[in-house]
Amino acid sequence: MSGPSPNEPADEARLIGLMAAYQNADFSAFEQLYAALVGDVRGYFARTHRDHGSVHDLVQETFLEMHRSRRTYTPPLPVRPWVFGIARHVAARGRRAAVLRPQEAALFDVDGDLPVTDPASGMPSAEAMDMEKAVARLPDAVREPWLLHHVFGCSFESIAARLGITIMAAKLRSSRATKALRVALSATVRRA
Amino acid sequence: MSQTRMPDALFEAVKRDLHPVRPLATPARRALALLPVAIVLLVGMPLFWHWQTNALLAPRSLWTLSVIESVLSLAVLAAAFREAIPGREWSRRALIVLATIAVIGFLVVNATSRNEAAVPLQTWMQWIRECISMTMAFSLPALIAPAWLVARALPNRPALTGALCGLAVGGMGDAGLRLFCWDGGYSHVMFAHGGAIAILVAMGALSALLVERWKDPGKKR
Repeated sequence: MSGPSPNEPADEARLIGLMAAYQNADFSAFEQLYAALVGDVRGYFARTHRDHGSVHDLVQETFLEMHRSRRTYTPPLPVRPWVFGIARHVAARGRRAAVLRPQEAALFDVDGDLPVTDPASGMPSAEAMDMEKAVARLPDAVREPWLLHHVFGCSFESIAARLGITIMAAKLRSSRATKALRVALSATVRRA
Repeated sequence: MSQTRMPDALFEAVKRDLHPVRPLATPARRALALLPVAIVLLVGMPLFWHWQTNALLAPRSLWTLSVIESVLSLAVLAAAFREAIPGREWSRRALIVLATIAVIGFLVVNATSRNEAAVPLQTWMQWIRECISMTMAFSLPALIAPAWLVARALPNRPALTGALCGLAVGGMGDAGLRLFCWDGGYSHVMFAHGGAIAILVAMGALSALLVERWKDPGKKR
């Protein structure tokens, strides 16, 4: 996952144009949107779910839900927050399904008995587990800015606007989260 | 490259179902579409009560404040519609500000209601029951329209979205209720009018949760 691109406004403008075309039934626009966003959506689920198979399913379910709910997108609002809002919805629905209807949990298997794997190699990864645990232990106030910046690639301006905080506060919280993660992970490495 | 290749199932599903869609109207516009509901609650309830009991209608100053309360309720409804859009959820701070404005608005508007009536406890209790049941009779059906509009979106916090809808409809109901209520005392206002709003907030949250739980993920919106 990369940080915010220097061409972020241009990229966002392109996504907005693609979404408008997609709402007008342009299939190639959907294909381009998929290509532009699938990596970020996969990265989002890979950090919150441990199984490669369920990450794949959740990513596809997110794009399917994006298709069903495409009329809820209002141009010219930014596309990425809308897509990640849908991803959060899909993840929450998966958690509910896992609790209420265990037989449906196969689609959204979020925290189960499956082996912990590295999404890239499919091999078990202790680092991925440690990172996931460390991120989960962060206080909500610092975790969200950190995830929005380092996972979704949002700018601090957009994070500040979204969370109703100042840009400086968004930077500080993200920085605190990075420091906390560094401390947590270095402790793990020392133990190993 | 294989990482960005679209799976065949998704490709087929989208291709099969692709047709032009019209984006949802802005939250403010959708809230304005429910202006008739606000008018029915504002005017319908006092007129119904007047027709039932031949009671006097409220003076013009009270009507003005009720109109303001209805407009504020429509603003809360617009906030609920925005909350239902993925990625446009309100921050915690904004929600606290919204709730504070709603409570202060409710108290200020009702502070200017008619005077407190000195009645026996039994009558006081009966008036509370009447106010709550009257509000429910008018407001519960009115809750269906915003709940339907919310269900067409994709709320990430359905309970909160539904609660905001309930708060908005409760405010609209209170705007009409206070125009014929005989007791303007704060104890009555808090228990009867505030209680009715609290019930509607709970009903809104519950209905949104149930709709979200039972909504078929495969259904088109």
